[in-house]
Amino acid sequence: MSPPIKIIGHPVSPFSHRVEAALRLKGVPYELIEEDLSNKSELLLAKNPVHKKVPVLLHGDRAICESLVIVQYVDEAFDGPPLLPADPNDRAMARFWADFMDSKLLKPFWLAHWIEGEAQKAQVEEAKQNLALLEEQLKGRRFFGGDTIGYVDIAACLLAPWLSVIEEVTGVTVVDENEYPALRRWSREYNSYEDLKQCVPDRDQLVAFYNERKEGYKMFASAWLQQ
Amino acid sequence: MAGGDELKLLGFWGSPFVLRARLALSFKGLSYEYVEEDLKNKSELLLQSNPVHKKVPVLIHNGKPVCETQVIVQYLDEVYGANGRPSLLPVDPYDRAMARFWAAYIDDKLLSSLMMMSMGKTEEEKAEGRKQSSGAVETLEGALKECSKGKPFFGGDSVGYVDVVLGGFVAWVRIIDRMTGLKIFDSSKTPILAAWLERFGSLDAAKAVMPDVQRLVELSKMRQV
Repeated sequence: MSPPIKIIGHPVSPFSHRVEAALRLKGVPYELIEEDLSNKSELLLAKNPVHKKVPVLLHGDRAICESLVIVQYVDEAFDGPPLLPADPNDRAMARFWADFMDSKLLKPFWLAHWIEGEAQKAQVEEAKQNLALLEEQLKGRRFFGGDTIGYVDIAACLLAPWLSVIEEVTGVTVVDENEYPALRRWSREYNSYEDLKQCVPDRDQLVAFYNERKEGYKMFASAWLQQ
Repeated sequence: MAGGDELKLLGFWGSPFVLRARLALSFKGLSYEYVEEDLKNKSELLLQSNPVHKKVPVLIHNGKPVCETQVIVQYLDEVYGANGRPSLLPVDPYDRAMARFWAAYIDDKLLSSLMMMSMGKTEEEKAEGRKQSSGAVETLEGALKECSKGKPFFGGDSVGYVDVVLGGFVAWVRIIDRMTGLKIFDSSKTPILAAWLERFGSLDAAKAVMPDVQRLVELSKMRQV
């Protein structure tokens, strides 16, 4: 019998959610060890000495870090419906779009909501261009993965449970319903997907979490802009 | 093999990312057509094949493009994984996860710090880059020790995924060493990596695609003007 699976993570982290989503979709039971993000535990520092971040997957005595690395591990180590397509070219496309999420969309999308003034315009512009590419990918498909949620959908989860939360907390809307109808529809379908219900974070709790730390998130965004 | 199995690589001779793709093709013993791009005047084929990033490398396999270097290397490994061709990624899912983790680290931490160090706009930025790259290299020394388990490469007895990913930087590391007088993989601080650099660089499959260091120095000087 396989050793137990644990995740060092946090329900507010979309990166942590990616791992939970992968395990749920594969039908693998796990325990979530909720990390205090403002006071990192000995366990986290020991298991992810390089980055000291969540999520970390603990599988027996193995520790695996970096959310998309973990998701691919889950897909390869466990039986259950595949998260990546079978055809190598389709797999390459899936990896490409998942990488796109983190390397091109994440920063401008986040900053567009959290920073203000002149600098915000440039971030909104960049975010919109990248969102348009994703919108294009969704045309005629229920999910990026086709009929069921797959690797790219999981990678794009920031645009699902977190989207309306960030919009409410910041008062900013970038993913306009009229400009991105497919993305907004996808977002709603992701949030109500049966197999993921147990790990989609509670909306009210997310809103409260971000509202309590609003100034901190604004400061973090300003710093990130400068990097 | 019946019919055509056409591989084409769009690249630029001075790019470490293109070098990675060429290293993968070389180590897997694959033939392909190499197309040198003029990055100031990108071809229609490049712009159509990589409309999102408009960058090299792009692999075109029987007319279908694959973009992003690490995606390309994994694709090649999956398509050309049989018939005695060497595999770059290991078989075991945990070992694969470790390879992907360190490959991501190289791009995330080493690349950015080397860029800051060599192309920083101020002396402070360059100094910060030196500090960060020093830390990243030390971490990689530990990674190589762990992954290789005393064998010559990150992949063990033979070149693997992380070797190819780091291998893309071999020429670049050599020119930074030459231009700054610093040793990025210093044998006194990171002996295992320093030995790896020499060993990897001397492999026939690596030499076959490694750009000329002097030419890279000229290119680098041009860019700094």
